[in-house]
Amino acid sequence: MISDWKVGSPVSLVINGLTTDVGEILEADRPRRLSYSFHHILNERALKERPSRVTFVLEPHGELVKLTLAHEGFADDSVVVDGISKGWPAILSSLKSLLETGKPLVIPFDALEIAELDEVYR
Amino acid sequence: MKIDQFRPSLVYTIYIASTPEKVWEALTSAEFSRRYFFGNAVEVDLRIGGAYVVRTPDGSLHISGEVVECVPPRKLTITFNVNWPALIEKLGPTLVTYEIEPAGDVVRLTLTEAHDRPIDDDILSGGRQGWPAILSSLKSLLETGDALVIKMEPPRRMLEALKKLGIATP
Repeated sequence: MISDWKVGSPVSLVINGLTTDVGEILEADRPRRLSYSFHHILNERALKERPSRVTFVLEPHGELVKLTLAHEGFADDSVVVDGISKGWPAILSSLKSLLETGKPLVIPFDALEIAELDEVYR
Repeated sequence: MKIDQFRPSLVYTIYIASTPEKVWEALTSAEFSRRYFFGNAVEVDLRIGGAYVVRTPDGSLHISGEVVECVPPRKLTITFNVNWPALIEKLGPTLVTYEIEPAGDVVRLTLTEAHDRPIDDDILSGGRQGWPAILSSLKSLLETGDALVIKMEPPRRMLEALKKLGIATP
C-alpha cells in the first residue's frame, strides 16, 4: 500500500510492481481510524464498478487491540466482492502473525481460490 | 436434523501457522480450549451423534450439542446450543461448522454459524462479537504458545433482545 495517509491523498495497492487498486484517503485519525475508497483497475469488469470503501477501526481492548475492517458499497453483481472476501482474512491473519511473532504468513495465492480476479493478482 | 435447512448467519475465516492436526486438537480438547475459550472447556465424543458440551470454569454446562459431521482433521459440525432456558424452543438449534484446510504451509480455519430460521440481528451480535475473539486467541496460542487475555461481556443489545423473547440469561 502506497500513500502519505493524509485525507484527500491518493492511495494505491501495488503487487509485484503492478498497481491493482487505487483510491483516495477519506478519513485518517491515527491510530484509531483509517478509511479510503477502493477501485480495482486491472480487471475490465471490476474497472466499470463504482469505487467501494474500506474502513479500519482500531480500539484498545485491555492490553490488546481490536481491529475491525469493513469493506462496503458494492453493487449487487460486483466481481470484486469475492476477491476481497477471500483476500482480507489472509491479509489480516498475516498482519496478526507479523505483529505477534515477527513473521508474516506465507499463503499461496492459489489457496485463496479467488474466481474472477485470479489472473489479475497472480 | 436436516442440515440443508440451515442458513449461515456468520462466516469467519482465519489463517494459522500450524497443522490441521494441531488445529483439530485445539478445537476438540478440553485442556486446549480452556486456554483460548474464555476458560471454557470443550468436551466432545468424536462420533456422529456423540455429545458436544462446553463447560464454564466452575464446571457448569454452558453449551450442549451433538456431533453432526466428524471428519478429523478436516471438518467438524456440531449443534451448539447455549444452555439458557427456553432458548432452543424460541430460537431453534444453532449449527456450528469448523472447516480446516491446508493453505501452503499454513492452515485455513473457517467457522460457520447457521440457523434453521431467521434470527434477529441483536441476537446474532453475541456470535459476531465472541467468535473473532475466540479464534484470534486460538491463533495466538498455536503460533506463540500464549493465548490472548480478552475480557468480554455479552453485548447489551443481545441480552435485551433475549429478555424480550422471555429467554432468561445468567
